[in-house]
Amino acid sequence: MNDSRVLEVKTLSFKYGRKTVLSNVDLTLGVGANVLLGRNGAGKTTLMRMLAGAARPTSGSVRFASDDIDGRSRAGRRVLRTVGWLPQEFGFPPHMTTAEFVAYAAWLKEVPAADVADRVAEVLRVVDLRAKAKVRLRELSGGQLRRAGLAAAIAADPQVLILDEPTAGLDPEQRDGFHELIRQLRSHKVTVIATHLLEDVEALAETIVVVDAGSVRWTGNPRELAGAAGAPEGLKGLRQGFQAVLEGTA
Amino acid sequence: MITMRVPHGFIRGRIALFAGVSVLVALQGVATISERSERWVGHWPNTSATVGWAALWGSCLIAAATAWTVAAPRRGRYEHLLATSSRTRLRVYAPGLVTVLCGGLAGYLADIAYVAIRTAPEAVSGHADILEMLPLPASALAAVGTGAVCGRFVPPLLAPVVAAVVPYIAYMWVVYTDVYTDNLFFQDLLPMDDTPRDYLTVPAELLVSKTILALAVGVALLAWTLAAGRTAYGSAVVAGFALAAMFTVAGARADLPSAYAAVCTDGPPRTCVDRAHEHLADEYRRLLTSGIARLDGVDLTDVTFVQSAELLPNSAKFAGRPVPAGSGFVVVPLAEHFTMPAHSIDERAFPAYLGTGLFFAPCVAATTDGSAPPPGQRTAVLLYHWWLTVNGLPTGGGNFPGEVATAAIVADDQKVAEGVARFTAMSGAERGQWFSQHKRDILTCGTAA
Repeated sequence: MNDSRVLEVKTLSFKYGRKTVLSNVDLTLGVGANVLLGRNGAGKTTLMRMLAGAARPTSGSVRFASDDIDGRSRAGRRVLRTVGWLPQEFGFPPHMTTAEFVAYAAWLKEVPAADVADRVAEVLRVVDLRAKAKVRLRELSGGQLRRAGLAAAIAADPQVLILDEPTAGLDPEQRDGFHELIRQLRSHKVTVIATHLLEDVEALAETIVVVDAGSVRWTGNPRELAGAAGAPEGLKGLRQGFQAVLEGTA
Repeated sequence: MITMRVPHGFIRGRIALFAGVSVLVALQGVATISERSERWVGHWPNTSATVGWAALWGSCLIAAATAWTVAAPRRGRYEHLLATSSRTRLRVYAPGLVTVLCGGLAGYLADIAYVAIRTAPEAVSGHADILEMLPLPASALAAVGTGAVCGRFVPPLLAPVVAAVVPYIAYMWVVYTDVYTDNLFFQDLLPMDDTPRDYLTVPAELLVSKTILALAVGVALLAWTLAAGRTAYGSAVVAGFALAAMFTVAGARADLPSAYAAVCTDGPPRTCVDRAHEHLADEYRRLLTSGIARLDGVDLTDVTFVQSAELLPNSAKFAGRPVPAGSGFVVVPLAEHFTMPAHSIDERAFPAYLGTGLFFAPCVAATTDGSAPPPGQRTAVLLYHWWLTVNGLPTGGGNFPGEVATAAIVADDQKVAEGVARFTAMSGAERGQWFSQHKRDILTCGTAA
């Protein structure tokens, strides 16, 4: 890829105690929607934590635009400004309103103080929560909270957006809304979405990375994944392709 | 329209945290310090030293508040925002840490203001000793460091509890180690101590090194928690030097020569107290005057009342003050509620001390060579029994530790009982005349009647 905005994972491994969670992961992810697909316990969430800079690999590296994502160094922290992360499960400061929560996230990413108000307004417009700006977070519904979390993740206008199971727990209508939202964001950012839902893959994926047992098993686009099982495009084809990858017959 | 630059909820939370910490720290400090008020009110050196006691529970509160604040992201499950912040961990946690620290310092400042306000009107000399007070604010930083460690590494709901307990456990450990080793060094690690500052002073080097130690420990713990390795290392080195400095001066207490100097007032009655108790001199004299008035006009203008037998020798020895002229000295202790000096005289017990000083002390002095009881001892008993009765005090020996139970003697000794009855039946003029005639015998435990 010629674009300098590339997220590179090189021989990344992570051990938790004696257990190897990730083993020699090599990935290159460019602008667009990159979906990490895998079963529960495949290592997706751990990999997402590494990509977001929330955890340090046991070995290997995660780099964006040629700089390590590592909060210990000044250069690494500079890169962290360009990374937004929405974990699968998250909480919030109970005393804050939606706007305050987003402003706090912007402060953490060192958005200049003079720009914070504009950023908060813009981000709340994007996630369609302007009407809830002054509502306390504990009063929001599950779907609205997830949008607030996404707003916090994009508060600093990141170039890398890490979304871990972003539609988990949402009803079909909320899920559709969220898909639309991510489609808006993916065009200008390296967007990495971890999911085990093939509906998310069908709706969002431009690149698919199949992760299983802590390793990358397959990389390609949705058409190629369906084609790996000799199936037509669509949800059914994706399911058969995913199954074929896991069984090693693709 | 959204206009905020700093999240308002954040500011509200900070203000509430600051207010809560400062009020709680101030209140517990006032409660802890005032419980010891008999030790310090009216005496600047004791007042300056006593503020350290505010740190006993204050440290627990500050550490708990810090742990609560630092653990908040984990408790609220929004730590992911902080973990991926581009700010250093120090800058991320600084607002909360600074808020708690400022709250603690404000609370301690209120405690210092409280003791100053209580002491200033009664103190007759001296001033607050800033050096003595320094370990208190320094301990706030150590408490913040302790709380930060707990807030980061202990499960979030348990963190405040553990942080609140740690300073007290440390205090108790030091106290027990001090007791078992009989080494003041351990006590000197703490911001508070029990050494009265009436006649002793703590070296300035000790106070400074104690302050530096607390500051360095606080910074080291904070830096370690906030992943500032070099600062943590540097602070640990400074703490080590401060500890080494403490080794050289810990346990040292220097005499305060000026505190022994006799401060005398012209009569009647002529009184002398030492400089350490000068703030009680007026009250002492007032109580002596009103007590002597009950002796029906006896002339004691040539007598000097002193607070202790050692007052005048100590004044000459330590302060180089000559013994004042006078024909006789009567020792009447200051009767300070059976505790350390610096507060007020126990007006209820004072007449008993005065009676003992006038009637009994001469007989005690006369029997120190182990010879037979002096001739005036029976007279002393009957006079003291009469004295307690007219002052409405119990005669069973309960006015102060070691007091003679005159009621038992009167019950056993027929002659004393008759003497008491005869003396009580006298008119005021007759008693006054009797006192005037026998004053010399009373003050020397001679045969009075």
